[in-house]
Order: sequence, then C-alpha cells, then structure tokens
Amino acid sequence: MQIKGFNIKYIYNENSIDRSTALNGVSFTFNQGDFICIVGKTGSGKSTLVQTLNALLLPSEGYVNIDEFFITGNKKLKKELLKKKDKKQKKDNKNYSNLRKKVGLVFQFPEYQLFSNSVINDVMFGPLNFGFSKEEAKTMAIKALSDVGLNENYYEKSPFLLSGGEKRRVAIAGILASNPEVIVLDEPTAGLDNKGKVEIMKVLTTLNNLGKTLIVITHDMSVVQNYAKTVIVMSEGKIVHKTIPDKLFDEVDLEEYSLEVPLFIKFKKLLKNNGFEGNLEKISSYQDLIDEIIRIKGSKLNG
Amino acid sequence: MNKPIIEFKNINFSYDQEDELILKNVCFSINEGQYVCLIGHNGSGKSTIAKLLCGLLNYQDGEILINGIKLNDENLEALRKDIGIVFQNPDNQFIGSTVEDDIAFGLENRCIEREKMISLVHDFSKRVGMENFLSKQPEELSGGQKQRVAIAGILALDLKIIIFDEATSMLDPQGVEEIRKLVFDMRKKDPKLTFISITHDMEEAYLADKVICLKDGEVFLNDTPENVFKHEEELKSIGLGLPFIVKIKNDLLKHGIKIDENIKNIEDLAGFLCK
Repeated sequence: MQIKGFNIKYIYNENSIDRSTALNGVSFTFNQGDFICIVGKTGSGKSTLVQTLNALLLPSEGYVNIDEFFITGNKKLKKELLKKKDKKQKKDNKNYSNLRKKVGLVFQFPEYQLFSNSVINDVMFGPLNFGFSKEEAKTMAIKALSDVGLNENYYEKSPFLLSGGEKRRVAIAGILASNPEVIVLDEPTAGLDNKGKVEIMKVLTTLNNLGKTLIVITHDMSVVQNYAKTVIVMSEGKIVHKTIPDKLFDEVDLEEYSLEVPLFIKFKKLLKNNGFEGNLEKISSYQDLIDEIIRIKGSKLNG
Repeated sequence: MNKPIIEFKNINFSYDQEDELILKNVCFSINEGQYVCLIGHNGSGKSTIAKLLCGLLNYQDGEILINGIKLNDENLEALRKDIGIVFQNPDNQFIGSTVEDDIAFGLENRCIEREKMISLVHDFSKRVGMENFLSKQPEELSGGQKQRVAIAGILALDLKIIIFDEATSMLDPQGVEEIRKLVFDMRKKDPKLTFISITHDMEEAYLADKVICLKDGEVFLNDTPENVFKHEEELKSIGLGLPFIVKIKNDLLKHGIKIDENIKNIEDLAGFLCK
C-alpha cells in the first residue's frame, strides 16, 4: 500500500483574519514497509501533514491517496476524483472510518489519553469502537499488547501505575489493536529516559519488520540515525529534503532548519576549523570520529 | 552562598501505606542560588520529590526544610509562595482561557497591581516567544507553545525556588536552548534564585552546579557533575548515558589518549586535539 500526497495545502482558520498556512504544496510517495522519520522545527507543518494521512485534517487543496481513499477537503476536487468510482468507494470516502483502521495515529504523549481502569480495557476500546465484538476485541488487544512486549501480567493492572515507557507502550497497543497497516507516531520518544526510548524504538522496529509502514515525527536525531530508512525535512509547510539517514548530516545544514545537530557532527566541525590533520570527510558516526582521532593521535603517541 | 534553602532529611514516601516505598530514606540539601539537576530512570521518584517540595503531596516520615523552616500544614501556604513548578504535561496546568489570562493567573493570585501585572505578562510572554499569541486559546496551541506559556507564568512570579519537571520536553532543540538561556539570564540577574531541573538530558546535567541521581527511590549519587559522571557503569545500569564531552574523553583515554583534566567543553577539546 502506497501513500501519495499531491500538492497538499492546509490552511488553519481559512476564513478568518487568523488564517495561517501550515502546508504549502506538499507532494510525496511513501512506500509500504518504509520507516520514515519526519523532522523540522515547531510549526514547520509536521503534525498537520501526518493528520491529513488519516483524514483528521482534510487538505484545503490537493489530496492524499491511500488505496481506495482520496482525502481532501476540497469538494470540487473530491467529486472529480471519485467521478468514475463505484458505490462502495464513494461510501468509503464519506466519513473515512475504514481509512482509520488502515492508518493508526499515535499522538504526542499518548499516555495522557489513557483512561481505563485496566490495561486490557484501554487497549480494547479502539476495536470495540470500530464495531468488533467484545471477544474479538479482546483477542485483538492481547495480540497488540504482545506486539509491544506486554504479557498477561499487565492485563489487569491500572495503566496509571506503570512506568513512562510502559504507559506509552499501552497507548501504542491501543492503536495497534485495530491492526493498521500504517502507524503514524508524533514524537514517540519525547520525555522518556534512555531505557524507555530504546524499548519503544525496539517495538517500532519489530512492527516495521512485520511489514507495517512507520511514519515517525521526531526531534531526536539519534532516532533518525539508528532507526529510520528514509528521512524527510520539513520547513515552512514544505518538504525541503528527502534522503537516507546516513546522508542527512552531510547533505543538509541542520542548523538552517533549527534541528538538533548531533554533538559528534558539531565536534567534527570544530576539529575541521581547528585544522585537524586527519581525514574528516567520510565520518558519519560517533565511532568513525573516535577511530579517526585514535588513528591520528594514537599513532603519534605510539610513534 | 552556602546557605541551604532546601533540605530533605530521611524522607520515606509511598502513595498508599501498603504500597512499596516510592522514596526511601531520601536525604539531600540544596543551597540558595544553586542550579541542581535531578536525574534518574522513569519511575525513580524524581517527580515525587518535586511534588513534596511544593506541598502537592504530604509527607509522613522524615523532614523537609525550606529556608531552615520545617514544612508542615500550617506554614505550607506561606512557604509555597516562594516556590514554583512547571510540569511536563502543559494541559494539566493551563488554567486561563487565553494565553494572556494563563500567564496572569499566578500574578492575580498574588494580588499584583493591575498595571504591573499587564507589563509583566507582556514582558514574560515576549521572553518565551509567545507575545503574538496572547489572545489564543489553549486548543489553538501546540504542546511546545503551551509549555512556553506555563514557563512564562512561573517565571513572572519573582520566586525564590523554581522547579522544572521536564518542562521543555515538547520544545524543539532551538526552543530548549532559548528557555535555557532565559533561565540563565534570570539566575545571573538574581544570584539567589535556586533552580531545580528534572531532566533526562545529560548535556544539561553537566552544566549544573550539582547533580542528584535517583535509583529506585534512593539517592544514588549526589555530587558535582564531574564526579557523578565518573560512574559510567552504574549510570549505564539504570539506563543513563554520559554527556558527550565525558564520553569522548573516556573513549579516547581507553586508547591511551589522555586529555587535560581542565578541558570541560568540546571547543577546548577540539583545540587540544589539534595542537
């Protein structure tokens, strides 16, 4: 399943003096099984973009196409897109509830939205809402909890008494329970300690290995570097770069987009400016950098 | 300034008497004007300490002294006037119907005269970069913007102790840097301002006067950043890493490249390695 965006514009408060353009002509193709990280400063349009993917926001202009779904708020365009489609497809495009089974969206700090007295009830809420029977919902919830690494010891626990990383895994399971093909997450590692972060990213990698498409908004460059297959940089409502993580630090001036520059990159620049003798060109990780310093300085010490 | 402003003495705490202790015999003191980072894994008790400190939770066992005075039910209101906390979740603390109202809320409670209040609201909204959002409602703001508003509301109050409980977790790196600079400037202007930051950011912890590290509800390390980060393996065992400068110095040392002890930032380290 591909996700395609065609020249999407999104304007908040379109008919008021407060109008602001959040997306200003965005086009993209996301392939099945990809692991995409979206980076960009606050207000660059990241969250708006991902919310169009499951029709929480409808583009003011342009559209998103996912299988039989055409997501747009432009009525004229929608009519045209659905012109030659059959009845079922027209119906599917009416309220998009079937789309939301395919594309699951996990908000920032999803644990703030936990509400049930037990983990299992919380995760069952989604499937029940989609009209599955209680039994079906339970089976789906158990599967989802197992996918995020939570076993039966957790089912009856109150979600509020779990650790930060565990809570977040419960919240992600709530989305997984409906078995979406695409999972979109807004800042999944924010506010977690290193251990919680690794836990969550491990879960996401497993899901990706199972064939699910992951779309992750993040500020954390170590997440980009260690987990993404594709990285997209957004600025002022546009996609300004699309590349692979290894090339990101070389191709893109991160500071220009107020992105976090990994410290090893900063340090590499400092060495360069200070006239370091070694070869700094091909360094793309912390370890590369250490190795190069050791090659130069170590040989001096030993020689 | 070596006057202790906050002292925790043998604090044991659990939310429910039958539950396991969240804090176990916690002892530490913080001096007036210090910048202290509280670090530790999720669930280690950092936020519980912050809540005890501003009287949001009551303690039964041990003593908490603020400015030498034991915190109790009678003096809680009075002592609390000097302490402000910004929580991680901005939705839990957005009280006003607009940004302007929200920043003004604490000032109103302190009966600040109207004209001064208006000027403070404008000044601090500007300092956190929210001056163009004064009439916005919370639902029109991003998580990071709400955090900026919460920070402005506390910083405007002219407090003696300010606690940030991961107060910038939703901001982008540039936003985090802006707020850090703002706090730095305020501390410079008022050297008596005590600032406590609960954080996962080891780069920030490295800049503090003192780092208190918690592990399963106990104070595990309590020292200067320099000394705390000597415990690489122990920190690793609770999922905490090292600041970049410490890590790179350690890694080079393992290969026999010794770095001058006085080098404390990457600028100097780069200069040293290029000599």
